[in-house]
Amino acid sequence: MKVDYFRMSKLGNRESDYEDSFSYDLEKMKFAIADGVSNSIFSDVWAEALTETFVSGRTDLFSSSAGDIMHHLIVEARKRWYGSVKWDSLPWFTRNKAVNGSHSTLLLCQLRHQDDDTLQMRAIAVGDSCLFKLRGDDIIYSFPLSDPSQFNTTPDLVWSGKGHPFPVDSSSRDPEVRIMDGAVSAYDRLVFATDSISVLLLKDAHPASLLEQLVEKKLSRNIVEAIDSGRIRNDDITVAVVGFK
Amino acid sequence: MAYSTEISRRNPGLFIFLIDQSRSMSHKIGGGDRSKSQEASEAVNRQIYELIYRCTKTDGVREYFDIGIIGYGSKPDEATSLLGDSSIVPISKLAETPLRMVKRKEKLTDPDGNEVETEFEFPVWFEPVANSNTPMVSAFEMARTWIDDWLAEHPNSYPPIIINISDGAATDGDPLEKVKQIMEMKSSDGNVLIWNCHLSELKGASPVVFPSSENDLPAGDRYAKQLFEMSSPLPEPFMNIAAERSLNVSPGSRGYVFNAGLDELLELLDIGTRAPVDNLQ
Repeated sequence: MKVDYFRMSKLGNRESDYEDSFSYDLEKMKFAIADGVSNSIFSDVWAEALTETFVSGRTDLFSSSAGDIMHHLIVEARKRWYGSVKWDSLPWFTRNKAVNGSHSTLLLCQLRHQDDDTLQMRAIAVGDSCLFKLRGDDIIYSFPLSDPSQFNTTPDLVWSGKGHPFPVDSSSRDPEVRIMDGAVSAYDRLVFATDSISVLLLKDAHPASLLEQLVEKKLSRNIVEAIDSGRIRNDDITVAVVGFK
Repeated sequence: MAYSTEISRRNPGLFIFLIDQSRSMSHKIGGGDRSKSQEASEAVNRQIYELIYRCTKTDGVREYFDIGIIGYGSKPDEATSLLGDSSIVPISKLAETPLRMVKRKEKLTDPDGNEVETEFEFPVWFEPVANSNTPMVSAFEMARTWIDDWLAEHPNSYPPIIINISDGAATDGDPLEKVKQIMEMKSSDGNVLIWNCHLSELKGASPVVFPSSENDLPAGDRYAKQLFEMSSPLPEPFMNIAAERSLNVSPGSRGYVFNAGLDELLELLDIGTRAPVDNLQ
């Protein structure tokens, strides 16, 4: 199994402004992608807390219901997020905004051996970060969205809950979760992508070529052209390709 | 389409607030308990706070906007910057240099209904003043020179927006010619926009919000007509926002409220600043 990925900040932004997160652990066969929302503050911290908590923790997507998994993940990720912010030393403008918490999309995926040739896959998602299964140049399916028209500026989000002075153990809100079961073989590739690049993959006649340009050659020209021509929104870009050969 | 440029640190937006500080601003606002100058200063201070809130990210306040505040009438025939020696100030600098902070306690509730009383600090950048006459022409001239310099540095930015809050006619001439000069200034994304808010002290005065014709105004009121002519037609993005709020707007509606109470003042400030905020990178 091999992972290649590409990331870039929204055009015009600094590299440090990037608010997506992608985490993975090949031994555990766990992958997570999140897109922190720029309207709220510390969303980059929240996106990373979500993906890292899933990948490094004991959460098992095959163990219980998607709703329970998401609830417990948010509780654990909130501790990581809350502990990462130096609440006492924030200036007034940051403190007044941070109390309202942070928001992010989230897509989790886990694989396990089904037989010699096949891996069983389960994915759960909140929002519009997507998982694609590719075979050759064809998109076999994408989850949770499958058509460019389904993307908009108000996706479902995972909320961190309130910041200080609410305590770390105060609650958040359980989001609506979508779940998908599938299988992958050695001929497949899994692609994890935040919304703008997901739209481009769905619109592009040759998504495999596009991915080769991005994750292997690290060439962003196609992205810049797509943004300049209005085919996709100017946004942070994260795309990761998992191969099984 | 005009008024669609993305606002970024490289291409910031510009708001200039013009605040009438004439003596009559000390009178109570129509239907309210506080003076027009108190309500105007609090509303503008609050609007700047909202802009800073939107520009605040993990790394601090991003310089998506420049702000200027001009007061006119605190001294006879004089318009001055209300931000000390500065004219136009990046929003990040405003965030770091309020005149004073006001502490207010507010109750916040989490999703389980747990309440926490929280002390918030709100900034104040300028105080209410109501002293002298209404040198509105001088105020617009000051804004014109600021915008002239700013556009030379930001030719491709979202067009600057002036929001003028007043309760009476200019005492230093006819501002219309000056305003027309400003309305002809432009960036590559459109002409400079001017919104006017006329504050009323009459109880039960009927406000006229975003009129599309002089016929919408009180017949024979020359001052109302003058302010109508001094106000820009609402571009499409602003029309859409006003329509979403169920306000009665039609093609030709102007960024103008006549006989405004506090609600109309807040609405004008909110709608007048919302479209650029929606274009933040």
